Amino acid sequence: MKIDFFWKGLLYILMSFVIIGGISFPLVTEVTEWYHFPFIPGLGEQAKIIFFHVPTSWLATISFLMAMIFGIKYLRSNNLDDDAKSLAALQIGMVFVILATVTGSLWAKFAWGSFWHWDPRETSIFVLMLIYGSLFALRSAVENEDKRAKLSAVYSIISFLTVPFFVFIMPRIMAGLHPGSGSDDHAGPVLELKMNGNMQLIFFLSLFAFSILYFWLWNLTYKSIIIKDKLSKKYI
Amino acid sequence: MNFLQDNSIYIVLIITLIIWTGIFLLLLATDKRLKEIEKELKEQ
Repeated sequence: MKIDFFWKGLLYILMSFVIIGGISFPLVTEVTEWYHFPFIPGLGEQAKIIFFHVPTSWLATISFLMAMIFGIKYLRSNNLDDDAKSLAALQIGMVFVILATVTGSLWAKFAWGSFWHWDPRETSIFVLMLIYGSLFALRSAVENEDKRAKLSAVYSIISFLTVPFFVFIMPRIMAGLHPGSGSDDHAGPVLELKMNGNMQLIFFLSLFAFSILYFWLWNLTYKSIIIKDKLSKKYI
Repeated sequence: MNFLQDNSIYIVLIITLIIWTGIFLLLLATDKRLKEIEKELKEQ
């Protein structure tokens, strides 16, 4: 009970701090105070998107990881609760992958000039959305729940193998417009080397706060799925 | 569009609102599921 309250309180405080700091801390050419962000030529205020856009794709990655972990667990235990946990992770992951795409595309409109460019980063997240979107189609096509759980577990394991490649490797080695891509050698606060310490502080606090938020959302989602399944079975 | 180009901090604001909307939709989905559970419990 107490530990539960601790995490929620921490989430509230951290997230409030990240929102206030991430939006309102001033950009200066010469950083002197701990709350100053460096002015990055070509990006300006738009650089602050990193505190909100990157955590969404981070959450998508960890939820697909959780989906894989509980997929493996299901295959070992044959316990439908593990399938519910995997499904909850997949649902949240899908929401956050869409959020990352939409926020990124809005930012691209102002940073690059149009909403969609087929930049390596955009292409890879699009392919990821197709891969995980078809998992939901697969799930809804199978009636038998054990079979559905087994198929979904195997699919989520296989599709997670592509995630590190699409999220971390391909957009980094190919030349592209996205900060952090292979040809990015000037601006771009993405790489830790280029982000100054104050930005890093808010950035990692933001990742941490979003991670707490994720585990809370996941908990609520899978608990409600499990209870609903159990109830509907009990009375049939 | 020009206003946003000149005051790009508002783009960050819009992006934060989009993310909040996504979290809100997740809450709505959970809420809907809980309501179905409640209904089912009442029917028994």
